[in-house]
Amino acid sequence: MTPPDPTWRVVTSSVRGRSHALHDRPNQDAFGAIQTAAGDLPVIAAVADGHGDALYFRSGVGAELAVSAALEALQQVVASGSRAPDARIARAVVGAWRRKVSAHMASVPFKEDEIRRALAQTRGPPADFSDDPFLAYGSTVVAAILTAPWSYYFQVGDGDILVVDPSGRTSRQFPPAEDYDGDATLSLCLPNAELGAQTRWLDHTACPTPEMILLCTDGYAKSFKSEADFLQLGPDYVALFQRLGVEGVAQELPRYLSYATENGSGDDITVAIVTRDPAKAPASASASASASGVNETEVRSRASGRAPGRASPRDGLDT
Amino acid sequence: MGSTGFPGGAMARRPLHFIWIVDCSRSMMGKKIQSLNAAIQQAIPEMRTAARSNPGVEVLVRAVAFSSGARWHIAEPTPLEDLDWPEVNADGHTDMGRALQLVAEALHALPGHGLPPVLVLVTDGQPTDNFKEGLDALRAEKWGEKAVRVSIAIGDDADRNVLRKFIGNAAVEPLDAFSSGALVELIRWVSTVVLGQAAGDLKLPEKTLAPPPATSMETADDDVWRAS
Repeated sequence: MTPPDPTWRVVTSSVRGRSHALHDRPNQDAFGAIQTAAGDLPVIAAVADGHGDALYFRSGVGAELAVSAALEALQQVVASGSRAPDARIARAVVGAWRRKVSAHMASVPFKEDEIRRALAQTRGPPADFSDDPFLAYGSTVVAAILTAPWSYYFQVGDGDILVVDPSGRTSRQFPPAEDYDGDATLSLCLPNAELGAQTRWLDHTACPTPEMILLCTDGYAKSFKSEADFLQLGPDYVALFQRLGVEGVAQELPRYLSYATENGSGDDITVAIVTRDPAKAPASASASASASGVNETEVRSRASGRAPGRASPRDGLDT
Repeated sequence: MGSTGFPGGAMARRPLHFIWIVDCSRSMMGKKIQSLNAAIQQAIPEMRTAARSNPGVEVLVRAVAFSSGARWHIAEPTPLEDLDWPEVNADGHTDMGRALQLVAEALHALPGHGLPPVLVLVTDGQPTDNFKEGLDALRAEKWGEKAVRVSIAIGDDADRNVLRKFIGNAAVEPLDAFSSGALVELIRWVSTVVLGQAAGDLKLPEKTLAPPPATSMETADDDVWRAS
Protein backbone atom coordinates (compact mmCIF):
# COMPACT_ATOMS: atom_id res chain seq x y z
CA MET A 1 0.00 0.00 0.00
CA THR A 2 1.40 3.35 -0.99
CA PRO A 3 2.12 5.46 2.10
CA PRO A 4 0.58 8.95 2.18
CA ASP A 5 2.89 11.76 1.13
CA PRO A 6 5.72 9.47 0.06
CA THR A 7 9.16 10.93 -0.11
CA TRP A 8 10.63 11.16 -3.57
CA ARG A 9 14.32 10.89 -4.23
CA VAL A 10 16.58 11.29 -7.24
CA VAL A 11 19.71 9.24 -7.73
CA THR A 12 22.14 9.94 -10.55
CA SER A 13 25.44 8.58 -11.77
CA SER A 14 27.58 8.47 -14.86
CA VAL A 15 30.59 6.40 -15.91
CA ARG A 16 33.00 6.80 -18.78
CA GLY A 17 32.75 4.06 -21.37
CA ARG A 18 35.37 1.36 -21.69
CA SER A 19 35.84 2.34 -25.35
CA HIS A 20 36.30 5.99 -24.44
CA ALA A 21 38.83 5.12 -21.76
CA LEU A 22 40.75 3.04 -24.31
CA HIS A 23 40.99 6.02 -26.66
CA ASP A 24 41.58 8.53 -23.86
CA ARG A 25 38.34 10.32 -24.62
CA PRO A 26 36.28 11.94 -21.90
CA ASN A 27 32.82 10.95 -20.80
CA GLN A 28 30.48 13.09 -22.89
CA ASP A 29 27.26 12.37 -21.07
CA ALA A 30 25.59 14.83 -18.70
CA PHE A 31 22.79 14.67 -16.17
CA GLY A 32 20.79 16.90 -13.84
CA ALA A 33 17.67 17.17 -11.76
CA ILE A 34 15.48 19.77 -10.08
CA GLN A 35 13.37 18.94 -7.07
CA THR A 36 11.00 21.38 -5.44
CA ALA A 37 11.32 20.94 -1.68
CA ALA A 38 13.38 18.07 -0.39
CA GLY A 39 11.59 14.78 -0.91
CA ASP A 40 8.60 16.32 -2.57
CA LEU A 41 7.10 16.58 -6.03
CA PRO A 42 7.48 17.87 -8.67
CA VAL A 43 10.77 16.40 -9.79
CA ILE A 44 12.37 17.10 -13.16
CA ALA A 45 15.28 14.98 -14.35
CA ALA A 46 17.33 14.85 -17.56
CA VAL A 47 20.26 12.98 -19.08
CA ALA A 48 22.06 13.72 -22.34
CA ASP A 49 24.63 12.02 -24.56
CA GLY A 50 27.13 14.07 -26.56
CA HIS A 51 27.95 12.42 -29.87
CA GLY A 52 31.64 12.12 -29.30
CA ASP A 53 32.82 11.74 -32.89
CA ALA A 54 35.55 14.09 -34.10
CA LEU A 55 32.98 16.20 -35.94
CA TYR A 56 31.16 17.00 -32.69
CA PHE A 57 34.17 18.37 -30.91
CA ARG A 58 32.18 20.24 -28.26
CA SER A 59 29.51 17.61 -27.73
CA GLY A 60 30.43 17.20 -24.08
CA VAL A 61 29.46 20.84 -23.58
CA GLY A 62 26.48 20.26 -25.85
CA ALA A 63 25.26 17.49 -23.55
CA GLU A 64 25.58 19.69 -20.48
CA LEU A 65 23.68 22.49 -22.23
CA ALA A 66 21.04 19.96 -23.32
CA VAL A 67 20.37 19.00 -19.71
CA SER A 68 20.27 22.64 -18.70
CA ALA A 69 17.87 23.51 -21.54
CA ALA A 70 15.57 20.58 -20.79
CA LEU A 71 15.40 21.39 -17.08
CA GLU A 72 14.75 25.05 -17.82
CA ALA A 73 12.02 24.42 -20.39
CA LEU A 74 10.31 21.71 -18.38
CA GLN A 75 10.40 23.88 -15.27
CA GLN A 76 8.29 26.35 -17.24
CA VAL A 77 5.85 23.57 -18.03
CA VAL A 78 5.46 22.82 -14.34
CA ALA A 79 5.18 26.49 -13.43
CA SER A 80 2.45 27.06 -16.01
CA GLY A 81 0.23 24.63 -14.17
CA SER A 82 -1.43 23.41 -17.35
CA ARG A 83 -0.69 21.00 -20.15
CA ALA A 84 1.13 22.67 -23.01
CA PRO A 85 1.08 21.36 -26.58
CA ASP A 86 3.87 18.89 -27.19
CA ALA A 87 5.12 20.83 -30.19
CA ARG A 88 5.50 23.98 -28.09
CA ILE A 89 7.45 22.11 -25.42
CA ALA A 90 9.71 20.59 -28.07
CA ARG A 91 10.38 24.01 -29.57
CA ALA A 92 11.08 25.36 -26.10
CA VAL A 93 13.66 22.68 -25.30
CA VAL A 94 15.41 22.85 -28.67
CA GLY A 95 15.23 26.64 -28.71
CA ALA A 96 16.72 26.86 -25.22
CA TRP A 97 19.53 24.54 -26.26
CA ARG A 98 20.33 26.56 -29.36
CA ARG A 99 20.36 29.79 -27.35
CA LYS A 100 22.68 28.28 -24.78
CA VAL A 101 24.97 26.94 -27.50
CA SER A 102 25.03 30.34 -29.20
CA ALA A 103 25.92 31.99 -25.90
CA HIS A 104 28.70 29.48 -25.33
CA MET A 105 30.10 30.07 -28.79
CA ALA A 106 30.00 33.81 -28.22
CA SER A 107 31.95 33.48 -25.01
CA VAL A 108 34.26 30.71 -26.29
CA PRO A 109 34.59 31.17 -30.05
CA PHE A 110 35.78 28.25 -32.17
CA LYS A 111 39.53 28.13 -32.50
CA GLU A 112 41.13 27.37 -35.85
CA ASP A 113 42.94 24.34 -34.51
CA GLU A 114 39.69 22.93 -33.08
CA ILE A 115 38.09 23.06 -36.52
CA ARG A 116 41.22 21.83 -38.28
CA ARG A 117 41.49 18.79 -35.98
CA ALA A 118 37.81 18.01 -36.40
CA LEU A 119 37.96 18.14 -40.19
CA ALA A 120 41.19 16.14 -40.33
CA GLN A 121 39.62 13.28 -38.38
CA THR A 122 36.20 13.39 -39.99
CA ARG A 123 35.02 11.06 -42.70
CA GLY A 124 32.90 12.24 -45.57
CA PRO A 125 32.44 15.73 -46.97
CA PRO A 126 33.86 18.50 -44.78
CA ALA A 127 31.41 20.22 -42.46
CA ASP A 128 31.06 23.98 -42.67
CA PHE A 129 30.99 25.11 -39.08
CA SER A 130 30.42 28.72 -40.07
CA ASP A 131 27.18 27.61 -41.68
CA ASP A 132 26.18 25.13 -39.02
CA PRO A 133 28.04 25.74 -35.77
CA PHE A 134 25.53 23.73 -33.74
CA LEU A 135 26.94 20.54 -35.25
CA ALA A 136 29.98 20.76 -33.00
CA TYR A 137 27.75 20.57 -29.92
CA GLY A 138 25.60 17.64 -31.10
CA SER A 139 23.77 15.81 -28.33
CA THR A 140 20.66 13.85 -27.47
CA VAL A 141 18.43 14.62 -24.48
CA VAL A 142 16.07 12.46 -22.39
CA ALA A 143 13.92 14.07 -19.69
CA ALA A 144 10.93 13.54 -17.43
CA ILE A 145 8.69 15.50 -15.09
CA LEU A 146 6.94 13.78 -12.20
CA THR A 147 4.17 15.63 -10.41
CA ALA A 148 1.39 14.29 -8.24
CA PRO A 149 -1.39 14.53 -10.86
CA TRP A 150 0.66 13.81 -14.01
CA SER A 151 4.00 12.90 -15.49
CA TYR A 152 5.62 13.94 -18.74
CA TYR A 153 8.33 12.32 -20.83
CA PHE A 154 10.46 13.94 -23.49
CA GLN A 155 13.24 12.71 -25.76
CA VAL A 156 15.28 13.84 -28.76
CA GLY A 157 17.59 11.17 -30.08
CA ASP A 158 18.53 7.90 -28.47
CA GLY A 159 18.42 6.97 -24.80
CA ASP A 160 15.68 5.30 -22.80
CA ILE A 161 12.98 5.95 -20.23
CA LEU A 162 11.72 3.07 -18.10
CA VAL A 163 8.72 3.43 -15.81
CA VAL A 164 7.83 0.97 -13.05
CA ASP A 165 4.19 1.05 -11.95
CA PRO A 166 2.89 0.11 -8.48
CA SER A 167 2.29 -3.47 -9.62
CA GLY A 168 5.99 -3.78 -10.49
CA ARG A 169 5.44 -3.81 -14.22
CA THR A 170 8.23 -2.11 -16.18
CA SER A 171 7.65 -0.47 -19.51
CA ARG A 172 9.47 1.77 -21.93
CA GLN A 173 7.91 5.15 -22.53
CA PHE A 174 9.13 5.19 -26.12
CA PRO A 175 9.96 2.29 -28.42
CA PRO A 176 13.54 2.01 -29.66
CA ALA A 177 14.08 4.05 -32.81
CA GLU A 178 13.43 1.88 -35.86
CA ASP A 179 14.96 4.14 -38.45
CA TYR A 180 18.39 4.37 -36.91
CA ASP A 181 20.64 1.48 -36.13
CA GLY A 182 24.02 1.01 -34.76
CA ASP A 183 25.00 4.30 -33.12
CA ALA A 184 23.15 6.66 -35.43
CA THR A 185 20.62 8.92 -33.73
CA LEU A 186 18.48 12.00 -34.06
CA SER A 187 20.17 15.00 -32.51
CA LEU A 188 19.48 18.43 -31.09
CA CYS A 189 21.97 19.82 -33.60
CA LEU A 190 20.00 18.74 -36.66
CA PRO A 191 17.68 21.22 -38.40
CA ASN A 192 14.10 21.00 -37.14
CA ALA A 193 15.18 18.71 -34.31
CA GLU A 194 11.96 19.53 -32.48
CA LEU A 195 10.00 17.67 -35.17
CA GLY A 196 11.73 14.46 -34.12
CA ALA A 197 11.00 14.84 -30.41
CA GLN A 198 9.15 11.99 -28.72
CA THR A 199 6.71 13.09 -26.01
CA ARG A 200 4.12 11.54 -23.70
CA TRP A 201 1.85 12.80 -20.98
CA LEU A 202 0.50 10.42 -18.34
CA ASP A 203 -2.59 11.51 -16.37
CA HIS A 204 -2.40 9.87 -12.96
CA THR A 205 -6.17 9.80 -12.64
CA ALA A 206 -6.21 7.42 -15.57
CA CYS A 207 -3.13 5.39 -14.70
CA PRO A 208 -1.19 4.92 -11.48
CA THR A 209 1.62 7.22 -10.43
CA PRO A 210 4.92 5.55 -11.25
CA GLU A 211 6.88 3.97 -8.44
CA MET A 212 10.12 4.66 -10.24
CA ILE A 213 11.31 6.41 -13.38
CA LEU A 214 14.70 5.53 -14.84
CA LEU A 215 16.28 7.74 -17.50
CA CYS A 216 19.46 6.50 -19.17
CA THR A 217 21.71 7.20 -22.10
CA ASP A 218 21.83 4.55 -24.81
CA GLY A 219 24.99 2.88 -23.54
CA TYR A 220 22.94 1.12 -20.86
CA ALA A 221 20.33 -0.55 -23.08
CA LYS A 222 23.02 -1.53 -25.59
CA SER A 223 24.80 -3.46 -22.87
CA PHE A 224 22.06 -6.06 -22.59
CA LYS A 225 21.58 -9.19 -24.62
CA SER A 226 17.87 -8.61 -25.18
CA GLU A 227 15.06 -6.18 -24.54
CA ALA A 228 13.81 -8.40 -21.71
CA ASP A 229 17.24 -8.29 -20.08
CA PHE A 230 17.18 -4.47 -20.25
CA LEU A 231 13.64 -4.21 -18.84
CA GLN A 232 14.75 -6.38 -15.91
CA LEU A 233 16.42 -3.21 -14.61
CA GLY A 234 13.01 -2.00 -13.43
CA PRO A 235 12.21 -4.67 -10.84
CA ASP A 236 15.87 -5.09 -9.94
CA TYR A 237 16.34 -1.45 -9.02
CA VAL A 238 13.07 -1.42 -7.06
CA ALA A 239 14.35 -4.40 -5.08
CA LEU A 240 17.73 -2.74 -4.58
CA PHE A 241 16.17 0.44 -3.21
CA GLN A 242 14.17 -1.65 -0.78
CA ARG A 243 17.17 -3.69 0.29
CA LEU A 244 19.96 -1.09 0.33
CA GLY A 245 18.04 2.16 0.70
CA VAL A 246 18.49 5.19 -1.49
CA GLU A 247 21.92 6.09 -0.14
CA GLY A 248 23.04 2.49 -0.56
CA VAL A 249 22.00 2.40 -4.21
CA ALA A 250 23.53 5.81 -4.81
CA GLN A 251 26.81 4.47 -3.47
CA GLU A 252 26.69 1.31 -5.59
CA LEU A 253 25.41 2.87 -8.79
CA PRO A 254 28.81 3.73 -10.30
CA ARG A 255 29.85 0.11 -9.81
CA TYR A 256 26.69 -1.17 -11.52
CA LEU A 257 27.23 1.12 -14.48
CA SER A 258 30.94 0.29 -14.74
CA TYR A 259 30.08 -3.40 -14.88
CA ALA A 260 27.66 -2.70 -17.71
CA THR A 261 30.13 -0.78 -19.85
CA GLU A 262 32.90 -3.33 -19.20
CA ASN A 263 30.75 -6.33 -20.10
CA GLY A 264 28.35 -4.75 -22.56
CA SER A 265 28.35 -1.74 -24.82
CA GLY A 266 31.67 -0.13 -23.91
CA ASP A 267 29.88 3.22 -24.15
CA ASP A 268 29.48 6.00 -21.55
CA ILE A 269 26.51 5.18 -19.33
CA THR A 270 24.46 7.71 -17.38
CA VAL A 271 21.30 7.22 -15.35
CA ALA A 272 18.91 9.41 -13.40
CA ILE A 273 16.43 7.51 -11.26
CA VAL A 274 13.38 9.11 -9.65
CA THR A 275 12.02 6.83 -6.96
CA ARG A 276 9.81 6.64 -3.93
CA ASP A 277 12.04 6.27 -0.91
CA PRO A 278 10.98 3.02 0.75
CA ALA A 279 12.67 3.91 4.02
CA LYS A 280 12.01 7.59 4.69
CA ALA A 281 9.02 8.70 6.73
CA PRO A 282 6.63 11.03 4.92
CA ALA A 283 7.64 14.70 5.11
CA SER A 284 5.79 16.48 7.95
CA ALA A 285 3.41 19.34 7.25
CA SER A 286 5.33 21.68 9.62
CA ALA A 287 8.58 21.15 7.72
CA SER A 288 6.93 22.13 4.44
CA ALA A 289 5.22 25.14 5.98
CA SER A 290 8.48 26.50 7.31
CA ALA A 291 9.99 26.88 3.84
CA SER A 292 9.84 30.43 2.62
CA GLY A 293 8.60 30.07 -0.89
CA VAL A 294 9.87 27.36 -3.16
CA ASN A 295 13.02 25.70 -1.96
CA GLU A 296 14.56 24.33 -5.08
CA THR A 297 17.43 21.94 -4.95
CA GLU A 298 19.09 22.03 -8.29
CA VAL A 299 21.91 19.89 -9.45
CA ARG A 300 23.42 20.18 -12.84
CA SER A 301 26.44 18.12 -13.24
CA ARG A 302 28.57 17.03 -16.09
CA ALA A 303 29.92 13.56 -15.98
CA SER A 304 33.46 14.87 -16.27
CA GLY A 305 33.32 15.37 -12.54
CA ARG A 306 32.99 19.11 -12.43
CA ALA A 307 31.57 20.08 -9.06
CA PRO A 308 27.80 20.45 -9.13
CA GLY A 309 26.12 23.53 -7.89
CA ARG A 310 23.94 23.53 -4.77
CA ALA A 311 23.85 19.76 -4.44
CA SER A 312 22.12 18.33 -1.42
CA PRO A 313 23.38 14.86 -0.47
CA ARG A 314 20.31 14.48 1.71
CA ASP A 315 18.22 14.17 -1.41
CA GLY A 316 20.29 11.31 -2.70
CA LEU A 317 21.68 13.27 -5.57
CA ASP A 318 24.84 11.65 -6.71
CA THR A 319 27.61 12.73 -9.02
CA MET B 1 18.83 -9.69 -9.88
CA GLY B 2 20.54 -12.02 -12.28
CA SER B 3 23.26 -14.47 -11.47
CA THR B 4 25.84 -11.71 -11.95
CA GLY B 5 24.63 -9.86 -8.85
CA PHE B 6 24.16 -6.71 -10.91
CA PRO B 7 20.82 -5.17 -11.90
CA GLY B 8 19.35 -6.20 -15.20
CA GLY B 9 19.51 -9.43 -17.13
CA ALA B 10 22.24 -10.95 -19.26
CA MET B 11 24.74 -8.58 -20.81
CA ALA B 12 26.50 -8.86 -24.14
CA ARG B 13 28.71 -6.90 -26.46
CA ARG B 14 27.03 -5.67 -29.61
CA PRO B 15 27.44 -8.12 -32.51
CA LEU B 16 28.82 -6.88 -35.82
CA HIS B 17 28.41 -9.41 -38.62
CA PHE B 18 31.18 -9.36 -41.25
CA ILE B 19 30.56 -11.53 -44.33
CA TRP B 20 33.06 -12.28 -47.09
CA ILE B 21 31.40 -13.10 -50.44
CA VAL B 22 34.18 -14.53 -52.58
CA ASP B 23 34.33 -15.53 -56.24
CA CYS B 24 35.70 -19.05 -56.68
CA SER B 25 35.02 -19.39 -60.40
CA ARG B 26 37.43 -20.95 -62.91
CA SER B 27 38.96 -17.63 -63.88
CA MET B 28 40.14 -17.19 -60.28
CA MET B 29 42.36 -20.26 -60.57
CA GLY B 30 46.03 -19.87 -59.93
CA LYS B 31 47.57 -16.75 -58.50
CA LYS B 32 44.28 -14.92 -57.91
CA ILE B 33 42.78 -17.52 -55.57
CA GLN B 34 46.16 -18.07 -53.91
CA SER B 35 46.46 -14.35 -53.26
CA LEU B 36 42.88 -14.15 -51.98
CA ASN B 37 43.40 -17.02 -49.55
CA ALA B 38 46.68 -15.60 -48.30
CA ALA B 39 45.30 -12.08 -48.00
CA ILE B 40 42.30 -13.06 -45.91
CA GLN B 41 44.37 -15.31 -43.65
CA GLN B 42 46.96 -12.56 -43.17
CA ALA B 43 44.26 -10.01 -42.39
CA ILE B 44 42.87 -11.95 -39.43
CA PRO B 45 45.39 -10.75 -36.83
CA GLU B 46 44.88 -7.18 -38.01
CA MET B 47 41.12 -7.59 -37.77
CA ARG B 48 41.61 -8.67 -34.17
CA THR B 49 43.64 -5.53 -33.51
CA ALA B 50 41.03 -3.31 -35.16
CA ALA B 51 38.25 -4.97 -33.18
CA ARG B 52 40.08 -4.37 -29.90
CA SER B 53 39.62 -0.63 -30.49
CA ASN B 54 35.92 -1.17 -29.95
CA PRO B 55 35.68 -3.44 -26.93
CA GLY B 56 31.90 -3.12 -26.78
CA VAL B 57 31.55 -4.82 -30.16
CA GLU B 58 31.87 -8.51 -30.98
CA VAL B 59 32.86 -9.11 -34.59
CA LEU B 60 31.38 -12.30 -36.04
CA VAL B 61 32.75 -13.49 -39.38
CA ARG B 62 31.18 -15.72 -42.02
CA ALA B 63 31.98 -16.37 -45.67
CA VAL B 64 30.12 -17.40 -48.80
CA ALA B 65 31.99 -18.93 -51.75
CA PHE B 66 30.35 -18.89 -55.17
CA SER B 67 31.17 -20.58 -58.43
CA SER B 68 28.62 -23.00 -59.92
CA GLY B 69 26.05 -22.31 -57.24
CA ALA B 70 26.97 -20.85 -53.88
CA ARG B 71 27.66 -22.34 -50.46
CA TRP B 72 28.64 -21.26 -47.00
CA HIS B 73 32.39 -21.52 -46.66
CA ILE B 74 32.25 -20.38 -43.02
CA ALA B 75 28.65 -21.00 -42.04
CA GLU B 76 28.58 -20.09 -38.37
CA PRO B 77 29.15 -16.52 -37.19
CA THR B 78 32.69 -16.92 -35.86
CA PRO B 79 34.33 -14.68 -33.26
CA LEU B 80 37.64 -13.27 -34.44
CA GLU B 81 39.58 -15.03 -31.72
CA ASP B 82 38.35 -18.37 -33.13
CA LEU B 83 38.62 -17.46 -36.81
CA ASP B 84 40.79 -19.35 -39.22
CA TRP B 85 40.48 -19.17 -43.01
CA PRO B 86 40.13 -22.57 -44.72
CA GLU B 87 41.45 -22.16 -48.23
CA VAL B 88 38.97 -21.96 -51.08
CA ASN B 89 39.61 -23.57 -54.46
CA ALA B 90 38.49 -22.22 -57.80
CA ASP B 91 36.49 -23.87 -60.56
CA GLY B 92 33.08 -23.46 -62.22
CA HIS B 93 30.89 -20.51 -63.09
CA THR B 94 30.14 -17.20 -61.34
CA ASP B 95 26.75 -17.55 -59.61
CA MET B 96 26.93 -14.25 -57.77
CA GLY B 97 23.15 -13.89 -57.55
CA ARG B 98 22.82 -17.14 -55.63
CA ALA B 99 25.53 -15.95 -53.24
CA LEU B 100 23.58 -12.80 -52.48
CA GLN B 101 20.47 -14.85 -51.84
CA LEU B 102 22.33 -16.96 -49.30
CA VAL B 103 23.49 -13.80 -47.56
CA ALA B 104 19.95 -12.39 -47.63
CA GLU B 105 18.64 -15.53 -45.91
CA ALA B 106 21.26 -15.19 -43.21
CA LEU B 107 20.55 -11.51 -42.63
CA HIS B 108 16.83 -12.27 -42.34
CA ALA B 109 17.59 -14.23 -39.18
CA LEU B 110 19.43 -11.38 -37.42
CA PRO B 111 17.69 -9.59 -34.52
CA GLY B 112 15.96 -6.31 -35.20
CA HIS B 113 18.45 -3.95 -33.63
CA GLY B 114 22.20 -3.81 -33.72
CA LEU B 115 25.13 -2.64 -35.75
CA PRO B 116 24.73 -2.80 -39.54
CA PRO B 117 26.64 -5.76 -41.01
CA VAL B 118 29.63 -5.42 -43.33
CA LEU B 119 29.41 -7.28 -46.66
CA VAL B 120 32.53 -7.60 -48.83
CA LEU B 121 32.08 -8.94 -52.37
CA VAL B 122 35.26 -10.00 -54.16
CA THR B 123 35.10 -11.02 -57.83
CA ASP B 124 37.04 -11.06 -61.08
CA GLY B 125 34.17 -11.59 -63.49
CA GLN B 126 30.55 -11.20 -64.41
CA PRO B 127 27.63 -13.01 -62.85
CA THR B 128 26.47 -16.10 -64.73
CA ASP B 129 23.12 -16.37 -62.98
CA ASN B 130 20.31 -13.98 -62.08
CA PHE B 131 22.27 -11.29 -60.26
CA LYS B 132 19.32 -8.90 -60.06
CA GLU B 133 17.18 -11.47 -58.28
CA GLY B 134 19.91 -12.02 -55.72
CA LEU B 135 20.54 -8.31 -55.21
CA ASP B 136 16.82 -7.61 -54.88
CA ALA B 137 16.56 -10.36 -52.25
CA LEU B 138 19.47 -8.86 -50.36
CA ARG B 139 18.15 -5.30 -50.40
CA ALA B 140 14.66 -6.45 -49.45
CA GLU B 141 16.14 -7.45 -46.11
CA LYS B 142 16.43 -4.67 -43.55
CA TRP B 143 20.02 -5.58 -42.73
CA GLY B 144 20.88 -6.11 -46.36
CA GLU B 145 19.76 -2.59 -47.17
CA LYS B 146 21.45 -1.05 -44.14
CA ALA B 147 24.67 -3.06 -44.52
CA VAL B 148 28.00 -1.44 -45.28
CA ARG B 149 28.56 -2.96 -48.73
CA VAL B 150 32.05 -2.92 -50.22
CA SER B 151 33.40 -4.67 -53.29
CA ILE B 152 36.82 -5.55 -54.68
CA ALA B 153 37.12 -5.95 -58.45
CA ILE B 154 40.02 -8.20 -59.45
CA GLY B 155 41.40 -7.43 -62.85
CA ASP B 156 39.90 -5.90 -65.97
CA ASP B 157 37.13 -8.42 -66.51
CA ALA B 158 35.26 -7.78 -63.28
CA ASP B 159 31.90 -6.20 -64.04
CA ARG B 160 32.10 -2.90 -62.25
CA ASN B 161 28.56 -1.88 -63.10
CA VAL B 162 27.31 -4.93 -61.26
CA LEU B 163 29.53 -4.11 -58.33
CA ARG B 164 28.25 -0.52 -58.23
CA LYS B 165 24.73 -1.89 -58.02
CA PHE B 166 25.79 -4.10 -55.16
CA ILE B 167 27.37 -1.17 -53.33
CA GLY B 168 24.30 0.99 -53.93
CA ASN B 169 26.04 4.26 -53.08
CA ALA B 170 26.98 6.58 -55.93
CA ALA B 171 29.77 8.06 -53.83
CA VAL B 172 31.52 4.72 -53.39
CA GLU B 173 33.28 2.95 -56.24
CA PRO B 174 34.41 -0.68 -56.39
CA LEU B 175 37.98 -1.12 -55.25
CA ASP B 176 40.34 -2.13 -58.04
CA ALA B 177 42.93 -4.85 -57.57
CA PHE B 178 45.12 -5.29 -60.61
CA SER B 179 47.85 -7.23 -58.86
CA SER B 180 48.26 -9.64 -56.01
CA GLY B 181 49.92 -6.92 -53.95
CA ALA B 182 46.98 -4.61 -54.47
CA LEU B 183 44.54 -7.40 -53.56
CA VAL B 184 46.38 -8.04 -50.31
CA GLU B 185 46.38 -4.34 -49.47
CA LEU B 186 42.69 -3.90 -50.22
CA ILE B 187 41.70 -7.01 -48.28
CA ARG B 188 43.65 -5.63 -45.32
CA TRP B 189 41.98 -2.21 -45.64
CA VAL B 190 38.51 -3.68 -45.80
CA SER B 191 39.26 -5.97 -42.87
CA THR B 192 40.58 -3.24 -40.65
CA VAL B 193 39.57 0.29 -41.61
CA VAL B 194 36.07 -0.55 -42.79
CA LEU B 195 35.58 -2.89 -39.86
CA GLY B 196 36.83 -0.27 -37.44
CA GLN B 197 34.52 2.38 -38.84
CA ALA B 198 31.50 0.08 -38.85
CA ALA B 199 32.15 -0.74 -35.21
CA GLY B 200 32.85 2.84 -34.21
CA ASP B 201 30.46 5.34 -32.72
CA LEU B 202 29.51 7.56 -35.62
CA LYS B 203 26.33 9.14 -34.33
CA LEU B 204 24.52 10.78 -37.21
CA PRO B 205 22.78 8.61 -39.79
CA GLU B 206 25.21 9.02 -42.67
CA LYS B 207 27.99 6.53 -42.41
CA THR B 208 30.70 7.56 -44.82
CA LEU B 209 33.77 5.45 -45.35
CA ALA B 210 37.25 6.84 -45.25
CA PRO B 211 38.92 6.83 -48.68
CA PRO B 212 40.65 3.53 -49.54
CA PRO B 213 44.38 3.28 -50.06
CA ALA B 214 45.77 4.11 -53.47
CA THR B 215 46.99 0.84 -54.97
CA SER B 216 49.72 1.21 -57.54
CA MET B 217 49.79 -1.00 -60.59
CA GLU B 218 53.53 -0.80 -60.57
CA THR B 219 54.44 -3.73 -58.36
CA ALA B 220 57.30 -6.10 -58.21
CA ASP B 221 54.82 -8.99 -58.64
CA ASP B 222 54.73 -10.71 -61.95
CA ASP B 223 50.97 -11.15 -61.64
CA VAL B 224 49.39 -8.06 -63.02
CA TRP B 225 45.74 -8.66 -63.84
CA ARG B 226 45.22 -6.08 -66.48
CA ALA B 227 45.02 -6.27 -70.25
CA SER B 228 48.13 -4.84 -71.84
